[in-house]
Amino acid sequence: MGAFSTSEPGEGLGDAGDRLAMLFVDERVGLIRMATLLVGSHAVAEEVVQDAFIAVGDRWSTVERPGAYLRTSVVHGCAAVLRRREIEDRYSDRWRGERLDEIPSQLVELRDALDHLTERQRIVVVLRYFVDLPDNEIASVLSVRPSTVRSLTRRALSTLRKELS
Amino acid sequence: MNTIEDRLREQLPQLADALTQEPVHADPKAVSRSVASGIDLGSAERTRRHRSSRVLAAGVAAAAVLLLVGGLLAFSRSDRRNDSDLAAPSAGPPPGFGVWRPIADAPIEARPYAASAWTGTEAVFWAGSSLSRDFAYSDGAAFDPTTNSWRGLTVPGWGHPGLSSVFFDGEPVCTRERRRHTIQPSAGHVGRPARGR
Repeated sequence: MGAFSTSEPGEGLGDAGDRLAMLFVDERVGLIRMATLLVGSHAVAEEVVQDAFIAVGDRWSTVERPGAYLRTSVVHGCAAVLRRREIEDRYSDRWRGERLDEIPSQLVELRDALDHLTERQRIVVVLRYFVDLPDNEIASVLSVRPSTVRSLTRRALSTLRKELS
Repeated sequence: MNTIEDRLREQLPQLADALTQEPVHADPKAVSRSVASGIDLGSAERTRRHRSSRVLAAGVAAAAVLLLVGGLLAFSRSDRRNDSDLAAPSAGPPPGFGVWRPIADAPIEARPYAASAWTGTEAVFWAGSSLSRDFAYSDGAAFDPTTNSWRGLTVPGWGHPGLSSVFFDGEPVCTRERRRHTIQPSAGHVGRPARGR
């Protein structure tokens, strides 16, 4: 891929470009909402999602399930952000300073409780209770066994109960 | 609310709404129109948001800058070549000015957080990192709009996010970790200034 490409998403891909554009329209909002819950920042979530669309556009001809590929790309992108806590904190602090007063207290509690989860626990919680994915699909996204997903869920719920009690 | 699971199912969507602040796309039809007309899919949204689709926009923005600079340069050279043009300030920009056009592919990968500067003859791009900033680039390239060509630059040890650059006092300079560095693309590299400068 050449640097500083001037092409738009889907441009030059013909019918595939139309499908990519429709995928963008259909999925972008939901993916940004999911990514925002994962990283705690709308701005970072938008960038992660945009990166995922670029990735799926580059691999369009080889991707069998673009929607699933996108979701997995976004989750992995968010996981990378979460691993770099100092970067994530920088964005979160900026965002929290701007938005803290506007969020209902019970949601602030929930957001803070989510911050106590490990990276994988947080992903499992969001995919299970927000995206409503079954365990086997969550396992596929995380490349783990379904039993591991269930274990992560139990531990995450235990932590959240303690933090929200 | 009976269980923590019920609370999650009820409040996670609310939290997503609160964090995203506003409908991400208030008018999906507008997006469809943008897609159909080949306009940047996120352009309307970017005008409303401080931080937005930076990676995709980088290519478009770079092309815009290069086009602008190239147009100005061509206009300037045209002025120098023809004195009659100087006597006609209302002549307007040269043909092609303000029109999008593709440029040659660069020898480096597209990346966010890159530093850039206009040296007077070339647009120079270097460093940058991956979106998550867990990988930094140590290369760069210079683009000459008059020949629509790129050349690679060596950027030893400069793969670092957070660079900024300006054209200052007749010399393109950039900063990194509170230090000033000169850009010397004519020598094929970006490096520190000579002692005493």
